[in-house]
Amino acid sequence: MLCSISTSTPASNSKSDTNWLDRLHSSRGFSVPAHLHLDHFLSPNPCANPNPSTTFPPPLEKEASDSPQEVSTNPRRRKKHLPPPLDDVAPDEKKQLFDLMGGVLAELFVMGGPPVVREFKEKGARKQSNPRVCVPSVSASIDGCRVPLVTSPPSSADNSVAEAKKSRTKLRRKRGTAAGPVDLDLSAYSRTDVTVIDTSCSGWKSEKVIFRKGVMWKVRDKKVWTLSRKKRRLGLVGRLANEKDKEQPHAESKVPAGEELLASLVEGSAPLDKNDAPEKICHQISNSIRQKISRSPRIHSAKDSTFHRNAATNQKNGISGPKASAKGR
Amino acid sequence: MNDVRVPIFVVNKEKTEIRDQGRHARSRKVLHRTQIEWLYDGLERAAPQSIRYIRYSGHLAARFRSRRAGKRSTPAGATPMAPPKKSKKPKRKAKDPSKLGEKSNPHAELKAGDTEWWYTFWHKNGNAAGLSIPSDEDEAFKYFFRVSKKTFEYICSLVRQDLVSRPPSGLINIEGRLLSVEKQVAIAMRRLASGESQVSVGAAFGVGQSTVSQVTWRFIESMEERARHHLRWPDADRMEHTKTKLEAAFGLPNCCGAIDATHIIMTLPAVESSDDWCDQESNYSMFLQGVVDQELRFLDIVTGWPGSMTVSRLLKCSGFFKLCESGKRLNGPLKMSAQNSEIKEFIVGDATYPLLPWLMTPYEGKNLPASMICFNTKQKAARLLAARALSQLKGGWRILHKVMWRPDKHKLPSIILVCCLLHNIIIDTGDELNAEVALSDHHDIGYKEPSSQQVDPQGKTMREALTRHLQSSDSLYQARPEMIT
Repeated sequence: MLCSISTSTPASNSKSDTNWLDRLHSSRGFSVPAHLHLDHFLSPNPCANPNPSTTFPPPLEKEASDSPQEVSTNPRRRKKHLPPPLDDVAPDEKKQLFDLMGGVLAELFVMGGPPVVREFKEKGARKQSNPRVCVPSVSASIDGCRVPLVTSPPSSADNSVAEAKKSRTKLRRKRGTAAGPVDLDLSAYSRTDVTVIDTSCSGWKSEKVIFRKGVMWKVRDKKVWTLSRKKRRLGLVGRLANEKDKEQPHAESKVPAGEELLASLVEGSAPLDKNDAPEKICHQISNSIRQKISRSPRIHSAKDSTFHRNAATNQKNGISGPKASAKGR
Repeated sequence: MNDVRVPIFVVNKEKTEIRDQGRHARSRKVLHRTQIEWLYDGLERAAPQSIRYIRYSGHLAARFRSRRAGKRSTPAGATPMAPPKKSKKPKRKAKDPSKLGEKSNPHAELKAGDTEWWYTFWHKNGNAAGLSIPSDEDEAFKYFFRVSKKTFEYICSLVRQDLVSRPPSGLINIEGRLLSVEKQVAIAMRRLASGESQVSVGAAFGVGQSTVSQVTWRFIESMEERARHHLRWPDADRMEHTKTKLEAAFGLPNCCGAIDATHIIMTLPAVESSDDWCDQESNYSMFLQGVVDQELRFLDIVTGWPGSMTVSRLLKCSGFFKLCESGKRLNGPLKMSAQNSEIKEFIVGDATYPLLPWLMTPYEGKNLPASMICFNTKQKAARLLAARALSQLKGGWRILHKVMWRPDKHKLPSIILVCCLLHNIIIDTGDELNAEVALSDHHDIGYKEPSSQQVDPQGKTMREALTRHLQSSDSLYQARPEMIT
């Protein structure tokens, strides 16, 4: 595999035959044994390791032996074990490296993982523009009122799609609550969302929340938070107008996402040439890593599109790939 | 598009083809009718000269032919169209007069748009058993859609840009043809007017239930935006006109209209039934409050609030209340009563509303003095305008009167609004509101809300001033309801 991170690391320029991962390591100041292959980071199963004779013990061997079936069948769960417990063997540096790569890979393939990943996650604008993590105090601070609280799901629900969905709905509902005086306790009130059309109000249509307890009625304006709801409520005329705007190509808007991806990948390293490096890294990762990891189809397609688009961008810019860049030099 | 080959459109009953001409005839493609219509549209816009030859047959032929006939701007070089084969269109035309019994020119009014649907619809539904459908075509049209053909055309023009079908996403009926805007509007208006189920309305038009659902909602969404100008608070001039008319009819100086509210009843799914929607009569309902003028036109509405509220609370939740209270509405010039008291602009409402400086309610109690009875009589006559308007609305657009089956509570306000807009359009375009379709009973029968006990001191003062004014001018003014439409 040919060089990819070339512009920022002079040392790497000379080593056109080295692995991109090595270059990444060196750019970050890590010294990694030459035999330590990418698979070390990917596969916790020592049998799958192409270099079983490595002197450096496979970091996840211990854990893999605990749950070998899970590892082989469930990629999501396997990724969860990615941050390896290297307490006994690995030196700090390597642990750091594993953490880093585990984070990067988990980010790339959205596998769930160590806290590092969470940090990256906020940057990726893959689907949800509004982060779903919602601390109960958030709604209070925004709305200024206490609402009938819905307990947030346990953190162990990370792997459960159904539970995650449920929590989203709950959170959304919670976030959708309306403003009110801070001292008002609405927990004892029943709650009804209504859409009101009032020709004396600007815009005519508005969403309200009614809190009711017996003859006590409290009405609050409802804030619409999620984009999808907003879109749905645009109405036919609004949608038609929107369709016209949307006819412009999407490519430009998505490029920054790729850049963010890169930024998370090379965080802390020397600045890279933005026009050059992101695509290369993504492209190479896509070639070398993706084939080895099974992922959920949903994530696959989403990421794929990014990779393919980046590849296409490369070709457009005359940077067709590692070979071309090598030739150029 | 300059190099577009000259196509031959072969439009026949079984299939629709597009072919290259002459030696290219082998490269023909059989397309779906919707596709060919779409293609035709595109060619017509981009390279009209390329369309030179159409062989007609079948039921699409008429539409193509009429469109070509309407656009004679074909370049001079274009060869004349092939003589059309006898299609079904003439047959249909010939059928109509015989069925209509030599009525007025059936195509005169609707020539701009699609008329096919109406004659098909009428032919199919004109003799429905158990219904007193007028034999006169125009009357029958009004019977089905509540509006004259002219008004119908106007409504179509309002929503055309939103409803015009754009293949391939355009709405398709069961014959595989695009639905014209006229037919879509007709389906939606029939659904609103009759309140019949989507299946029944679909059967009447030869479309499926889902088409009715989709078309109706598209129509409602479009009307919400495009017909807004038919429901607005009048400007000063118009308001002056209204006040003059109301004073002439009821003797109430500076009266701007009447307010009333009604319940739109629905069923809710058992799972998510909320008591908040359950009203005093144990129905699930949504409120509609309207302020109307002397012509029964809605000047202001508010809807979407649960029927379990009291009318008084509904009023206070409305934007109208807030505007009036802040002096931004009903703030026109004062009038002086016969006793030189100031009379501000006001509306009239029943005893369920609070007495406010801008909202006059009747006196309550027994053994009232004659002056108060006189006030009550005239106030009642005026406020019945609102009750009549709501009866007319619910009777004309029966979807509001029938118990709606689990409607989306976020969409129901839009349905109600559009019915009010249609009601106003009928008035604004000069169509007569058909009193026969209005409800014979009260619009909110069964609901007896207790009177509001709230009395604003200023409101009380003004009501007394009005009472004295009416007493003194009793001999001058007579309630003349016949002046009201």
